[in-house]
Amino acid sequence: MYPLLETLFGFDVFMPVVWLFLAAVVCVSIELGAKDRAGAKLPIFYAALGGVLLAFVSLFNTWGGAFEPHLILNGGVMIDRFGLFLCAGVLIGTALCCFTSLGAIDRLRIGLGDFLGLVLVAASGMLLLVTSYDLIMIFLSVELMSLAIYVLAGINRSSGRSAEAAMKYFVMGAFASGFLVLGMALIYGVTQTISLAEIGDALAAKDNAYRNVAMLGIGMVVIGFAFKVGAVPFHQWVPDVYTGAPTPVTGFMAVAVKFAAFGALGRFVVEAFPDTLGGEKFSPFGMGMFWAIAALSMVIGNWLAVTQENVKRMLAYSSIAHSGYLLMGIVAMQAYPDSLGSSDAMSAILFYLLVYAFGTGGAFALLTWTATDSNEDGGDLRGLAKRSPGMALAMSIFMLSLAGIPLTGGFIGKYMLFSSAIEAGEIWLAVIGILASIVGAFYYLRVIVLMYMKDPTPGEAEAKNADDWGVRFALLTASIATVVLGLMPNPFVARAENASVTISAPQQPAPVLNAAIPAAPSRS
Amino acid sequence: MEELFTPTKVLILSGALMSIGVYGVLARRNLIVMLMSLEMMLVAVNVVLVLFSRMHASEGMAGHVSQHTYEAAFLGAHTGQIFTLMIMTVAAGEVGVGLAILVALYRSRNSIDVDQARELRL
Repeated sequence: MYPLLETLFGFDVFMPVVWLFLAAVVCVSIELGAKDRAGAKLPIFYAALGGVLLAFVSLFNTWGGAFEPHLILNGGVMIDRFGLFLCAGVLIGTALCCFTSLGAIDRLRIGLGDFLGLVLVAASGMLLLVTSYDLIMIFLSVELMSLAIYVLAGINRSSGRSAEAAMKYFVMGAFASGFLVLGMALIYGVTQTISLAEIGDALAAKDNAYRNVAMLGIGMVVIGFAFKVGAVPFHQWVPDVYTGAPTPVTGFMAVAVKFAAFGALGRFVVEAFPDTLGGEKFSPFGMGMFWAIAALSMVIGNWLAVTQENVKRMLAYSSIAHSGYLLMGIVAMQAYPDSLGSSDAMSAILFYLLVYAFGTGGAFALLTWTATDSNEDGGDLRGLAKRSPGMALAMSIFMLSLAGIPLTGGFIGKYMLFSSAIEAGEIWLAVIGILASIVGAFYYLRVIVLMYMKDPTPGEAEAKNADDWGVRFALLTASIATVVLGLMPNPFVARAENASVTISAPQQPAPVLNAAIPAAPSRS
Repeated sequence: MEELFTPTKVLILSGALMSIGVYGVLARRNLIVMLMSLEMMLVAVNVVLVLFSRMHASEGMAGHVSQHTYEAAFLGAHTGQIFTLMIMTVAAGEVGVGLAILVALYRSRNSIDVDQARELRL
């Protein structure tokens, strides 16, 4: 009846992203209009937190009720439970970053509004990335996320290390994006489509010469994602960037980027890889590559982490190892002969990401808390238990969870991942993973020994940040969540399973809601 | 008359651009040259996408008689060119961020030689 109104309000927008963008604008505006920077801190913090909470609430609204996966934005974004679960994980990482940066921002000599504005923009890119359903959308959201994080890594302008970290991350990230987008161009050239769902079918129908070009493209896209998650052999940037970037940013990178990149990689593997190729189940090519990357990441990540003295750098190598465990889940997902099994593997990945988010996010929050002006890395955990027992206890919980000790979430997550790999028949990969994680337990436990059995370094400031309630809240939440995930994992596992069924099960083509133009007829 | 830009020639051009870009990023140590090389990689992808889009359009748009299906087919067949526009936009943003990081790096150590930025190698 009112065509103009229909055009204006007819788009089915993805509300969480809108809330995050609005909150980012509000944060930057408060920063611009504020007369004193210190007084503006709390309003900015509440604006950012409000945006994250509103986004979370609208996620819950979408998740509940009569829910059907559907495409919006003319097929660019897929709203399904898989994407919504990952969105929730990204928002958890964002909220942890908001709380940790509240006290740490004074050391960075920059306004909280600029900082949180960038964090929220990066988070909205991640929400789009985990829900994106065509190649253009994947590329745009990867870049939206990455560009904001390049800047965040270098946001401490008084520190040469921060600038160096930003430079390394930028050069490596842009190089990887170049390959990612070249791969997408090759896929588009062969299949004539950018929609993930149609790529697999189109590939299965092509003859060999064309198909090899598309395989090259798929390989390049996977390499691009491997850069983003920091898997061996594309990991060289991880230790330098994680160490050089300000600690709250490192926590955000470790948690939220991993959620987003693994979400997009998982969706790409499930949707864009053809089910069968030349009459056989499609796996050898993709599995061989993932197998090698997963095994190398687990072994080399854990091996190099053992030799590190700096805790922040050790955690960077450990995040490479965790990428390896998660990639093992992707190998298991492909190796299963039926879609029910691969949805099991996918739910193991989702649950492990959740556990990893609280463990690593909490550990970096603690390093933010112990950091001083002279020691930005917060590496001096010696005798922390004597100085502040509560903090030491929280850090022990995170370390035990990352090592995979029972009663913490890490144990359940590792158990699910390894058992799905074994059930899928990838026994050797599981053996490599278990051996590597035994090595891993060594350096996590060394941190606990450092905190409980060594004397504090003389002259170390006595609980200098005691009034930093933001970090305290983040640590409290993360440690409680880690224990809850270990003791009562069932509700979370059920949600992860619910989320992965929607993506792995063979499904009807999803309806496109409110398409501005009708979908193009097939041009075969 | 012989066609000037055959697909093979365009692919060779794009491959050359991509190779120069990759070589520049890997071999040169000046950050500005590396930025230029990164942009050249994206330009190579743009050339490939325009070529593919053109090839698809010529075979995809034949046979649509009515206005409506023609429009849909037109947009569907030109996805590659839309992709190109997106890449150009992103490339502009990437250069902006890259130059900002370059300035920050230069301020902190008076050099944009990436080999001298090795404070983080512990």
